[in-house]
Amino acid sequence: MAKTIFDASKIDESLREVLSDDVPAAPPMPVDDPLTPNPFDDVVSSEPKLPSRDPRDTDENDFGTTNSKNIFETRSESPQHSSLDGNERPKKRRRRPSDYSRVLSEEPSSEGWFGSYVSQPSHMHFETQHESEEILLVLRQHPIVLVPKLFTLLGLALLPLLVFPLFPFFILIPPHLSFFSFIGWYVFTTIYAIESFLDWYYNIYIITDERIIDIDFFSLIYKSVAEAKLNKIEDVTATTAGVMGATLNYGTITIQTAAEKREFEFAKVPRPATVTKLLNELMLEEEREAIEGRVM
Amino acid sequence: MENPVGNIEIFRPIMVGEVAILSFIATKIMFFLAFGIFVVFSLVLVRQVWLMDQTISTPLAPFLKIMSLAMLIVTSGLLFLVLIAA
Repeated sequence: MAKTIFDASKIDESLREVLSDDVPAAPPMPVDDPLTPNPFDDVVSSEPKLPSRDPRDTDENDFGTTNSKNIFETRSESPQHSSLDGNERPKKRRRRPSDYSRVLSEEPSSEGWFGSYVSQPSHMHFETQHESEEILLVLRQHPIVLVPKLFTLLGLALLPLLVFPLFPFFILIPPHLSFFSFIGWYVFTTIYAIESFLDWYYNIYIITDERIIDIDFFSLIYKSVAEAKLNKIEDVTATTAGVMGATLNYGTITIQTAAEKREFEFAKVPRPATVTKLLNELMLEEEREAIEGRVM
Repeated sequence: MENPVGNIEIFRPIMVGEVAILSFIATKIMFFLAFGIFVVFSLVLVRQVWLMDQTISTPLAPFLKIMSLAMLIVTSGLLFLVLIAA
């Protein structure tokens, strides 16, 4: 029976000879650290500088695709790649949303007092907002959803004047309290109006450059805040239904995520196609950031 | 013949004066409750407007705060007046 014996010391010596003579020392593996210089950056910085391109000049068909020119511009413009010495570490610059989003570059910044579609609001911020986080879009339900409540309010306001004379149950109430019953009715109507308005005003959907946030506020005693990072979004569906939805351009956006809350529903928001487009742009930018290792 | 259920005094017809007194008390209690609920609602409103301003700050928040405080003052004043009038 054949018996094979491996002498480990001989194999080790022969390997050392081969490596020392023929094979140069392998370069250290690049560490997956955004502050560590990427060896391929030299190649990028030695490329001829491409003509600067306005991000708004993107073609119609260019939406949703990685703009390689912009990526090269971003890297070649950053001075840390060209003047890199032993102590300096490169910093990858994070692009502004209006640089890569066509939707945002076309939308003017707004104040956001009553609007249901507030783009890049200047005077709004939320509790868990990070220092570098930027609100890109604030959505509420389309104001048309308030019309039924307005009719209800009108009915409540006119009820004492129209119905009470026909059914005079005021005679059952002591005369000195009938005034308070009248006042009480209108206090109730005012409470209903305030509750309806706050219900609409504080049911907010926020899209930032890092995540989506769904703030629900019902009946003054229930509040819910759910959020998901943009890189957790898996699927976005926009639905416009009904005559009113098609006419006034509002609909429901359903966002499937891999976060704890599996599904976000932006109900009856205006311009659902534009919002979907923006979400797609943000998701693509998140992918680019992950690939390029941009963190700032 | 003795009544098998015992004393049925409680089932005697209620006098008109008692009805009036009971009705008046019930009406007063109803008014206290109604305006008390309005005051409680206003307190909840003030608290929630402050909380929502912390959650998301909007340009309209200062006006909503003033409105909720005004609502609390009005409903408290009305409850006070009802207590005096009743």
